[in-house]
Amino acid sequence: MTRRQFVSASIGTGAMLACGRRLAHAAPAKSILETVRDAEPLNNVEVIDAHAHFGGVLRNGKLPPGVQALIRAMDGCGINQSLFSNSAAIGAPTPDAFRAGNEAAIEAVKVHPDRLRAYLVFQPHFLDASLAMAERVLDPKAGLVGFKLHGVSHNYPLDGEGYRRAYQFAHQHRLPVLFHIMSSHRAETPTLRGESLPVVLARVLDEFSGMKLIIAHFGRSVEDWAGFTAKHPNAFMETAASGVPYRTLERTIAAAGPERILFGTDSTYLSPGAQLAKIAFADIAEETKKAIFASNARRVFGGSIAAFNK
Amino acid sequence: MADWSYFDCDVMIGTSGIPIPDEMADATALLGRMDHYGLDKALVYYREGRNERGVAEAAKSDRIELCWVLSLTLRGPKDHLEDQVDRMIGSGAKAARLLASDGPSDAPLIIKPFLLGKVYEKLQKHRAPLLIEGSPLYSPEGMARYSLEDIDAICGEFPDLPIILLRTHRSLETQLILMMRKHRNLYFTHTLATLYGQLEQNVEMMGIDRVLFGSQMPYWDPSLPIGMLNYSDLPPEQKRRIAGANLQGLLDRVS
Repeated sequence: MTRRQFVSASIGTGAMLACGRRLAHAAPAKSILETVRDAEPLNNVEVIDAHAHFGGVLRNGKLPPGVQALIRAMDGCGINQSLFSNSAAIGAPTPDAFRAGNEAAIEAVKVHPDRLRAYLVFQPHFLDASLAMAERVLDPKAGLVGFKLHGVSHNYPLDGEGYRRAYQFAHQHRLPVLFHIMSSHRAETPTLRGESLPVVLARVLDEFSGMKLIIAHFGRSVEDWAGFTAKHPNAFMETAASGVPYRTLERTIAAAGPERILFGTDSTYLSPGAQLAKIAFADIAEETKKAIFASNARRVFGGSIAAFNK
Repeated sequence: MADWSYFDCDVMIGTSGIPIPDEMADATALLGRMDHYGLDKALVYYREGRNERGVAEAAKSDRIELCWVLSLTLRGPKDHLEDQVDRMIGSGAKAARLLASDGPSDAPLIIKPFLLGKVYEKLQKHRAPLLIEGSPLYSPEGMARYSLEDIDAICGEFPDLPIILLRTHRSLETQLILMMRKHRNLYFTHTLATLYGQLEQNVEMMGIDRVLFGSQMPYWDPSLPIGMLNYSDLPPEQKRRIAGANLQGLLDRVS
């Protein structure tokens, strides 16, 4: 028996004894931590992944992960619902490919209406195509929840005219926007006058206050972005990150509070199990974990996402 | 319930005058964290290379094994760097580690065989693994100055010395695969694999024997590599090997 098995068994036995003979045969529900430590899917808690993908690039001779790979990854961890964008739309070389990528996302939602919703990728360099598709976000049958912006991949100024059109639409219709703003390996999203990102983003958030902006990947620096999120009621953070310093989540919550932190995996780019474990093992209350895993997202996305169906 | 036991090869304990966030002062603090994460054992080095403190802390629990930090300071005119390997083995430590200093006036860490060859020779004689931090290979800032060529040279000149590269990065994946094919004594921790499916692909390309678990706690969050392995598509026996059996096998072969 491993130590983990011994600890888990002891907790179970102790709980049963504490409950008394009448309940001795009922196994107590495992906590989120225990479930993940035991490498089991989180099937007793609602989990909404606010940042997922399928599609993308060929790696090591393997085909890019399709929607079935995303569903399988979700099932393996116990993720109920993923809000995803098609990587093929983000990296599309032409407007036609961009449109096809977004249409494929809409089609995937139709096939898996209980499990998936999509962000419409808004590509500022394909502005006409992006604006033409934007109205689809307002169609409840399309299964779209908002926009995905990738300022780093698209190398487009945060305050550029193309993005302003997206912000205006989102503001007008009170839409969420998931925005990849920073990266440790490539240049950050530029700004028109070389001002710092927090300064420019603060202006954007104030001007387009109806938009709910989700800063992807913790914003890469807790010190810079957690406090920023706390100051702007329409700013949120999402947790997907491939390697984080110890206790990043705890420090983020200490600076920004837990209410505006959404769970994200960046699957099928990153491994979803790693991202799930990051929340599960955090030194925070069970109810806070559940809020990050689902109820915060339900508040942000409202009726645009599927009902909980475990 | 998971059937694999975690043996973390990359953990630091200890405090000094300049605290780091979330440091673990001693074995008691470490054991508490290990229980939280479900880690059965840990290969631990003491901060700033204070091996005598590390020996004392490791003695407090059979779940903690000491990783000896190699000193690169000569203590006198007749001192030889390789003599510390005898002290290391005598202390019960079965693995050694090279550590870059943080001191602003200290020399950068250079690991070339022409400087440290006799140390490597002695470690090889005992088959004691040598752990080397992987970050200077993809992040040139900092006090360590070595490259893949240096790792290649050490692996080539000392083919029976297990070299464990800690916390490499997915950007080095192809280079590491090529080096792993060339050198059977090269190992790495699976924090290399952060992308979806990457761990499974790494095992497919490199085999299962030379992948280890190392968290670099308290600097990095151990939950990610734990979650990566727990939820991977690898069969339980392969998870068992990566989680701890591969490392235990290396240490069991130390003479």
